[in-house]
Amino acid sequence: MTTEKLDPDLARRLKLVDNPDYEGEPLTKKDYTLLVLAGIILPLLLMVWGWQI
Amino acid sequence: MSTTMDSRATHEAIEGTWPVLPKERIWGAWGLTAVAISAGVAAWSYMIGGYVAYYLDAVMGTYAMIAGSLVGMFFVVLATIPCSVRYGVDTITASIPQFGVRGSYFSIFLQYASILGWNCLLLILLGRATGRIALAAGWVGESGVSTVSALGSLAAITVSWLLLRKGAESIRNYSYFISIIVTSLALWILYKLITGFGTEAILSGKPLASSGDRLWDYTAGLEILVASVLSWWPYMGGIVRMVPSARQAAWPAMLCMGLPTGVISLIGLYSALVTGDSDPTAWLIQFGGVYLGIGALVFLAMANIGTAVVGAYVASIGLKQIPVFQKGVSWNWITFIVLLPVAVIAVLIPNFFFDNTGSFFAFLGVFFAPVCGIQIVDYFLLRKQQVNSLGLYQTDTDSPYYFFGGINPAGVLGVLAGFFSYVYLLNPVSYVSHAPFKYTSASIPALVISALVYYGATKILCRNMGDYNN
Repeated sequence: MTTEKLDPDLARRLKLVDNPDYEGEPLTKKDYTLLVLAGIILPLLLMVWGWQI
Repeated sequence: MSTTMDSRATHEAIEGTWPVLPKERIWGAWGLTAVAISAGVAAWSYMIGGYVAYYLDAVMGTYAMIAGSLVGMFFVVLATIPCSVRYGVDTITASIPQFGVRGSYFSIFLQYASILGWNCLLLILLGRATGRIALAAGWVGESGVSTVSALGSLAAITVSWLLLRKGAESIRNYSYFISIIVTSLALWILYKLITGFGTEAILSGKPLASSGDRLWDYTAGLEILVASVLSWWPYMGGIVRMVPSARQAAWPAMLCMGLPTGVISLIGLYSALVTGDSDPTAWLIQFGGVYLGIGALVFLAMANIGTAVVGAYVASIGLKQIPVFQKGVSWNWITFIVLLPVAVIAVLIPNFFFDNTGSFFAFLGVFFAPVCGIQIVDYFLLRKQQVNSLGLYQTDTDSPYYFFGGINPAGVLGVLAGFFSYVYLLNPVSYVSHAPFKYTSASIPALVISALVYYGATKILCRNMGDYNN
């Protein structure tokens, strides 16, 4: 049983946040793929390219 | 009555720690882009470029710095954006599942100390540039430079506080203005650098203190940028929760906070290789007199104030986690409390700060790699991208994130493992390294090691706690 009393407005808000309609849109598989390309693959290529110059 | 309650709740969210609902996220992709550029373009990048100039020439330095800025930001994005955007929570709240309801005070310390330090650096740099320009223009003699510098810093801090008064909406609005100005001026400075010295001089500039080991130097250049960009961690949650989708947050973060750190650092790299000084103010005055110097000063002011304001905004939200700041302390007072130490340091002891805090910064920065590693493995692998939003706001034993006395032991072990791994691979103060640093860098292995230790410790120590089974 909860012993700590949350602010009623906060409690209401937290109930909403549990509903996907009130959550922010997540990243998709395509987003993650593009992020890996930009954040891992591209830097790796840059490092290899820079080393060979 | 309902409208009053709604506006109160919105206020507690946007200028506090409550979750921000999608309809309240007023920045949008362009707004966050402007804020990201406003924060991401800062004159501290000159110093970062100056450090890289110790080890690398212009060509290898450019490749290493751009690569490092992207890698560092990739890990910050993964660690912070998915959770903060989904649940509308700031950086500190998002770290509660990893560190516990009391352990998250470590996150508050990390955020506050880091942002305080960076804001001091930014606004002292601005003050010093003001003094340098005033001297070059003949407005003051040598004896007046320190006074002008202090006044310049104080003016910038005052402007920062005033810009914060209206909260998130005004930060977005002025960021449109600042982002255009700083981007234009940064490109203009880069242009002046290249045309003023010539590409020949820049390309033939030798590193200032090469180790003699080409691979070691190359990895060091990469590491400087990775570690610097990981320092954006404290800034992220508070700003990305102001957009409704993670995609609208991820690309501005990657391309407008991470990448500009690398690009603006090129100014410092090229300046240092050609002149020995990473700060372009001196050669701008030399090329074009006081007026070019004033142009550089305007850039510095816009860039540094823009970054300082975003930092103070997120630090103020972070402080609201502390009970004493939750009720009865107005937003203006909290932002004042965040900026007051900056004013004291910048006015009273700027030189002492500059001479003695490099080590503090270096060690502080070492913590961001482990924190990112822990957050990534916790959110994606252990929690499958679900957290208990009610548990984030309970502070007693009813919270699933209470663990042992409010502290998650796996978080402690993960951070320690990452910290000591980093310091073994590369001492951040002396830059003495151990194998296999030149093949691996230091931040990336520290991030991975901390993630692995956190994962293992969670499985062993936190079997029936932490809400992992839900």
